[in-house]
Amino acid sequence: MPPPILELRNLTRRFGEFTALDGVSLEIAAGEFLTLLGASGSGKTTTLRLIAGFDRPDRGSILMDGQDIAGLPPFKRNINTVFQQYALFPHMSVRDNVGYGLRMRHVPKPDIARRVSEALDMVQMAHLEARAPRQLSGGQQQRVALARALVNRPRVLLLDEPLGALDLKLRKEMQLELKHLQALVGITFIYVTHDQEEALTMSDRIVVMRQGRIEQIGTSREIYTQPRSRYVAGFIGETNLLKGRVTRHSGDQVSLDLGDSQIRARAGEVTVSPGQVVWLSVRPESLTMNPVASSAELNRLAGDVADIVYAGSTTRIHLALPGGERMVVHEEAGRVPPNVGARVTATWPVESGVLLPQDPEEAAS
Amino acid sequence: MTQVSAPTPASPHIRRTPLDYIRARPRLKTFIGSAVPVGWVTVLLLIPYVLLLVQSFWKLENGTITHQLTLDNYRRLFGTALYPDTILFSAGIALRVTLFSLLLAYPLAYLLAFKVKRHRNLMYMAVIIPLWVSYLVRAYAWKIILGQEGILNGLLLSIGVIQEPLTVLLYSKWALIIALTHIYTPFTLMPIFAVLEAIPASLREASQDLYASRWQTFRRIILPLSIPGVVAGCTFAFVLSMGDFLAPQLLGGNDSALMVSNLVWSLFGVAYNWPLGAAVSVVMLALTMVLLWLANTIEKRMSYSGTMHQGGGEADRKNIMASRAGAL
Amino acid sequence: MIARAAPSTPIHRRQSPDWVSAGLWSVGVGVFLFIYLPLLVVVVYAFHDSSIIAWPLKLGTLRWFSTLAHDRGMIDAALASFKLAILTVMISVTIGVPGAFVLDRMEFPGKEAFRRMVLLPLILPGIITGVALLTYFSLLKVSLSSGFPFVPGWPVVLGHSAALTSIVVTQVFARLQRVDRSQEEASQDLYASEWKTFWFVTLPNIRTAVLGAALLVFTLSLDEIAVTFFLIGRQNTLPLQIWGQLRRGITPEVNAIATVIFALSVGVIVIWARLMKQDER
Repeated sequence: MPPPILELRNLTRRFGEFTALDGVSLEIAAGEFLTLLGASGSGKTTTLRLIAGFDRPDRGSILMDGQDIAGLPPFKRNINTVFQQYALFPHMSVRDNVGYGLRMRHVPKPDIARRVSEALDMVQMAHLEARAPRQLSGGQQQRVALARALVNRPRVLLLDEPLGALDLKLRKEMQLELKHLQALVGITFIYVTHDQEEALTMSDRIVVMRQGRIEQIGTSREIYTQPRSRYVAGFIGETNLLKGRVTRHSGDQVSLDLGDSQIRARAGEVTVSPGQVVWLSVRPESLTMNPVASSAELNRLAGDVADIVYAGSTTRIHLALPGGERMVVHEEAGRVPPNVGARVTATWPVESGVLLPQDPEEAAS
Repeated sequence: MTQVSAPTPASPHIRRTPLDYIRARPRLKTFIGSAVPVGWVTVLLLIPYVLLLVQSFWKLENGTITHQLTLDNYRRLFGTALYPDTILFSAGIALRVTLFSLLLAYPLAYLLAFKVKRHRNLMYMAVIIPLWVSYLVRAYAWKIILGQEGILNGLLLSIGVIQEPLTVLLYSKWALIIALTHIYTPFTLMPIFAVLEAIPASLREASQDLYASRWQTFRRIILPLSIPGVVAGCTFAFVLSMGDFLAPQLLGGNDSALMVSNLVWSLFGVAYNWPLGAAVSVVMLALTMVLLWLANTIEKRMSYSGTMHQGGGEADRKNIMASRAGAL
Repeated sequence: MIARAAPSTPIHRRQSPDWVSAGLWSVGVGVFLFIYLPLLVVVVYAFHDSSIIAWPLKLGTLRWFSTLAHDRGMIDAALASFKLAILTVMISVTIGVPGAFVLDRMEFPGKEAFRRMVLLPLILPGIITGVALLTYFSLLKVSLSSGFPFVPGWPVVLGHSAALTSIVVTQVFARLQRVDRSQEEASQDLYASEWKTFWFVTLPNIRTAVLGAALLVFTLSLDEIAVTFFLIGRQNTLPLQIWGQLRRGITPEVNAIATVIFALSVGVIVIWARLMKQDER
């Protein structure tokens, strides 16, 4: 693996009593699209602001190409930011906004003109270069903000929820566009969002943050299919969480007692011992109802249909289990759903369930 | 799931009252609602101002005012050196007061908006407090300080810088300028502070992120964005100090620093030439209007409050205007 | 593994000597001194034990306050000023609140003219409003002392009210613009008539603005000179009485009354600041 372009070492930032960032360490490879994903207050924006230089860490260091930059002001870092509300300068035209950074660095005028034009072309805003920011739509402002940052050819580009203010359709379009743009320019992107779907769509790697710490790092697929904690499983995508006690553990095979039924699972990376309480995450799309052919590798749970919600490509069926828990099953469109109140059997392949340890605080109580 | 959600049965008949008759007629509603405030403004502001304008065309004959239209007053106003000179002199004083107020107010507003984190409101209040303190007290304070037996003279004598009390301190135009600057600096500060505070932190961060040093960020982002506040503040200082007639009498002496308002005052007082006084007032009014129009145009053109996602620029201006009334 | 524990390296928050900030702070302190020292001088000399205001200072007497307490003219003027200010508040709130509603919610030809006319006394030098009203009342042949001793004179009461109604209008209007109109619609939807809606929904929303404006009008009326000068009848107001004293020369009694006014003003500001704070919640 090549040396990282950016390395965060044990970053800590407190605001009074509140610990926004609690010993975060992370290596970012050159050219990757890394997403910091978390709920508000998870520390993702704080991390971004520390990297940009708008804030200083209380402890820890930020190494860019091996040099500590944690104390440098923003204007001495070769890092640029796309702000959440774009922060376009209202008194300057689109063109002047984009050229601002180059002017500040005393780039020769002809070069500025050329590079600004290139950048505006790249985001397809060249025809609006004389406009004032307030004359642009949200999507257009977003493109200008992107051009204004990229024109400086930063080592790292930081994006703070840049699509948050756009409507859903435009957001989806811009997600793909951003992804393509990143591949095109080859600049390292660090992207902050609280939208898990956005994170899954765009990222090479996702860093899931929670309460100022890193919860899990991995590719989109890893984060989705192999969550390592109950929090990650619940935060990324929809899932059913079943609580059970380990009854038997041999090799990779684990048997769980859910109270009124028995199921099996793979241990995966979790070390378990009999008697231990664990969680099993089963994605709604892994579940099938009343399968025609029976297989030995299926888990089965009986439940009553409580609600049927038609959602276009899928039908979501809510089941009430005898123990009072609820489960959601996604049935593909085309299958005839059961009626509300019907007793059904939900099944899933043993290997599609993911075993998760209890959270430390939960285990303690 | 029982009574709460059960809809009431269809009502057989809705009873209409005379009020509903008015409710159904928006024009009538507007007329009734606006009658009192509009009437008040017409009777106590519009008519008196119009009458002042009319009176400026009346004649004074043998000490009595005749309701006969004439341009004599304006001829005399522009034909006698005293009046244009006084207006120019007043404008000169007002200009200097404006400049000094701006030089004092801008750094303090900047400090309050960007550097003070804790107790910012408290410190802002501290700047505003003098506006609530009697105007006379503020003007009079300078008489104590600059007077012949005043504090400054006393201080200078006791440390031996001078041997005899200076008489030039009081009753000079500089005494007037200092006092007016003191009185109107808080007015100048308010609108500047308001625009500076409205500049989102992200704009300053974006500028730094794009390699601008602190000075460049000030020069290219903060200063241009604060122009509307500067214009508003300067307008306050200029209009108010130009219209002041008490401080000049108290500090400027009787002849050495007479302002245009003092002329109006004496024409409506001892000189008992109301038509000429009205004409001078009308000229003052016209000058003020032109200035305000100019300021408004600049403010509108350079105002970005809407795009700085703070909004309420208009309402803010009005609020400031309201506080400005302290020197009425 | 990408994430790994690294040895912690403490970083001290960088505090390089910052000349720009230091300069700004010293200018700021200077401006504060410029604003406050003169006021302080007035207060200090109120306790100065000599009838000539001079150096050196001899502190520690209350005799100027006692002179003040026995000055019939000053007390009458103060009473007249209070009466005038209270009447002005009552009238300008009565007219100004509906005026703000007219600006916020009604459309009619000439509304823009109405808006400008209301604001005019705020924008113009006070002396112009003063002489305009003087002209007006003298043409109407209204005596400047009419209504005395019940009020200091109807012309001056109306003059203050005309000039200061704009304060109420601007303050309440600014608040109305921020009031969420859907609250009122919700109220009407829930069967409250216009009056009930005003009383239970709108008024609570603008209450602090009305109180704040009333306080401001009260203070400004107490301090008003430009309009008062031309409209006053037999009975002087406090500022005019002080002005008369000042014209006769510096007397320490003025320092005493100024100190009293200063203390009262600070009291009013504290109340006003509380109101504004309540507002933010």
